[in-house]
Amino acid sequence: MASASPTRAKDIPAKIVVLGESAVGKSSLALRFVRRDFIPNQEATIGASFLSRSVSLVDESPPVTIKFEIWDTAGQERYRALAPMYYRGAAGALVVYDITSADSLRKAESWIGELRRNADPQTVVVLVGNKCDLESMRQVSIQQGQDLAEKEELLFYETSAKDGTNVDALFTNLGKTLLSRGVIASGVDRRSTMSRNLQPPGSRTPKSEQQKRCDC
Amino acid sequence: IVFCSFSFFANNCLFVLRGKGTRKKKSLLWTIPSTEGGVLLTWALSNGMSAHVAPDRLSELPQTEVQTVTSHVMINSSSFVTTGSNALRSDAKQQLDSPRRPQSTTLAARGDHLDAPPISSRRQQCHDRHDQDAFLGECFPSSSIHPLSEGALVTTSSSMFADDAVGGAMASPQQQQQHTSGAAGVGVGSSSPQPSASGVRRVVGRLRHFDEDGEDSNLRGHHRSHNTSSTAQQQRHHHHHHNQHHAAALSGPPPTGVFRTAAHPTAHTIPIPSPHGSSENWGMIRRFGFPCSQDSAVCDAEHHAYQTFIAHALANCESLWSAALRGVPLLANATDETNAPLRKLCLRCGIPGHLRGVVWLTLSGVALRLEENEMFCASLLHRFGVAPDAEAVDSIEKDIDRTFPQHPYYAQEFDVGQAKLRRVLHALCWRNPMLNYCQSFNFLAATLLLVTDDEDATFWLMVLLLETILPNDYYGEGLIGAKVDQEVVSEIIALELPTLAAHFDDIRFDVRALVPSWLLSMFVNVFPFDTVIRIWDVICTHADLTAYSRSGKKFGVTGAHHNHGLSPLSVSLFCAS
Repeated sequence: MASASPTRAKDIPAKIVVLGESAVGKSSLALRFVRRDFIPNQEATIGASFLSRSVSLVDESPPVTIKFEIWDTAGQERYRALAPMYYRGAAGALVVYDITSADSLRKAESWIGELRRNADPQTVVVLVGNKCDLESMRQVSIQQGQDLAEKEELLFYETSAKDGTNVDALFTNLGKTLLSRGVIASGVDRRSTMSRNLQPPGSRTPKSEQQKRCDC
Repeated sequence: IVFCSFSFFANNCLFVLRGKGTRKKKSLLWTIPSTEGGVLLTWALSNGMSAHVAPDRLSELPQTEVQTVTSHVMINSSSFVTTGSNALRSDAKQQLDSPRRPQSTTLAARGDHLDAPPISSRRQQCHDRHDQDAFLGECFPSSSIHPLSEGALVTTSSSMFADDAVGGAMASPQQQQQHTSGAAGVGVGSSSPQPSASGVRRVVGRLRHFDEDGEDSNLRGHHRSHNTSSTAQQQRHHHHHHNQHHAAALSGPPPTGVFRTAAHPTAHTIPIPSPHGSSENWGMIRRFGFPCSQDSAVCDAEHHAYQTFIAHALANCESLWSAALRGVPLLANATDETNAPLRKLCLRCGIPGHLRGVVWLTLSGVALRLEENEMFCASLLHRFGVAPDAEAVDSIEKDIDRTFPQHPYYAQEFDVGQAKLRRVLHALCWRNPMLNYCQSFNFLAATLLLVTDDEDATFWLMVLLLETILPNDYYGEGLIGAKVDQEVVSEIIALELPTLAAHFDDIRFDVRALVPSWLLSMFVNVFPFDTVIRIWDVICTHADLTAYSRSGKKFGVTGAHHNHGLSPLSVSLFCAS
């Protein structure tokens, strides 16, 4: 398993932050990716927790291994005050909403706004509609999510941390996007995620490239 | 000679655990699951110990930053020393621009009628056992709502402690029954991506025993055996191992039997609290009733540590307490004089599980408030209904299901703990509308509930935590108190642990990122529950030092610390070694 292997020199670190309203499944999503596991009543996150997993992208040339360093944050409104510390200098940000809660999509919008204002402009933002296994309780259509992602020029996925739908695809494509946009690059030393200065601030993320349907 | 120094932070103070070479045997060993919180701690401790043993080993220590599976922590059971640094705190506070800092988060409605008068005005001497029993009856009019009365009676019953050894053996056999349930499951889901199998093997390999004079190998012979106790007395009692999680799911023996059975152990009698009953005493159970880790390596490591080390210390602690409590008034009858030696004992070895609730209530002064405000929580909710703020109600509902879901007490199917937890959290919203509900109150209250199993006791202990022990802006809007502590902790690390700070600097790791999850939940879900509760033993029992700061002198708090406005928590923890 990639994550069990020790950090090798050629691993490219990528700091990822997970944001969104409470109980939308941020921790579950991160745990699904890192441990391939799902716990129905995941304990509430206090402050933030850290997870990491290395993923090899074999179809890149040359093949590279990205080490995702994931900061999973607490969702309650009050903890928003702590968030800047986690999204500052992040290569990627997952803004998660719950497809069974229209409210959580509004919260996601405000997170996107905050990232636009305060985060590093090259941070790649991914809009993630989680819990897509709960189709019968859906309140947010795929179209709504896609529209928001297109408007804000974000990557968009619908995932299910419970059954694993799209979770690996999400991170793999995020990794590819980070590489292709030069947000992370092989050859830089590992401290680079904390102090990147590779592109001028003006280069905004291009139009949404990936829109995947939830196939559950 | 300082054998090892440094450990964990709370609020603006840094605990320094010190042990002397001659006291090795009193040290406790805990295994820590792979949580991010444990890493720094362990790193630092390993650092300290290795620096003593072999400076070269420093380089072997976690270079792979936070994902390293933690190994072990040694907690010296005899000396907790804290060095509070309030100058740092105020500096940091100035550095932070805090436009949104709330004025005061305590409720204006906190009238005097709600609060108990100072202890000094309410001193009652009640050394007679019968009087005390009668008093306890008054204190908890219905034993069905306050199982602590059961424990309290035990502590004052002379027959229980006729022989120290009986008292000492009381809890241990039960704790040993739980061996098969394995290891620390508290940190589940916290952090390390390393699926632990390999990591924990390293842990096991790295477990070092401080009794290197052969005691270790003697005990190892008993590994996994049924009779693991180190005293002959305990070995007379045969007990079966039971999986706690499973056993607790079944209906246990009658609640009243819990303590009595413990006094006269017989074969196959396993006093496991019933989830339906009203007298859970999770403190008597290994890991407080939390299921073991799914990782068998972690279970084994914990099991081994327990047998070689912790069981010993617990039995010792047990006998110290049974001696100290003889004829001592408890709960609202306690006085400063009778409390002082108990406080010292809390620092020295913590509190045995079955006494913890009573001792917390006694030494924190909450017993007085409880007596003054009978059924406070229930009547508050009866009068005002659910919390005033819809958003808070929503958050509470979201979090109730996500609070210790793996613990039988909070498992949904029983709904005992959840209902109590919900009421406490709602009542707290009424008490402190400015704080309202902040995530992590759920864990704090749930922890207290596990110890006390009583809404009112939990409510007043929470009030004590939020209004007396922690600065009152700690959980306010913007979490300003927590942000201050982020700065303070990183400053303390830079000052006290330059090597560690340099290492973090080297890998560009910002230690401030870890601090909120440690401090806001007061280490719950950061360390294994046993370790957490050991820390809380100190915090909860030294709180009234802050409210009645004159007694601070007893514990060596200097005037200078007071003058600089050392925060209540650090005062409460500041104690001469």
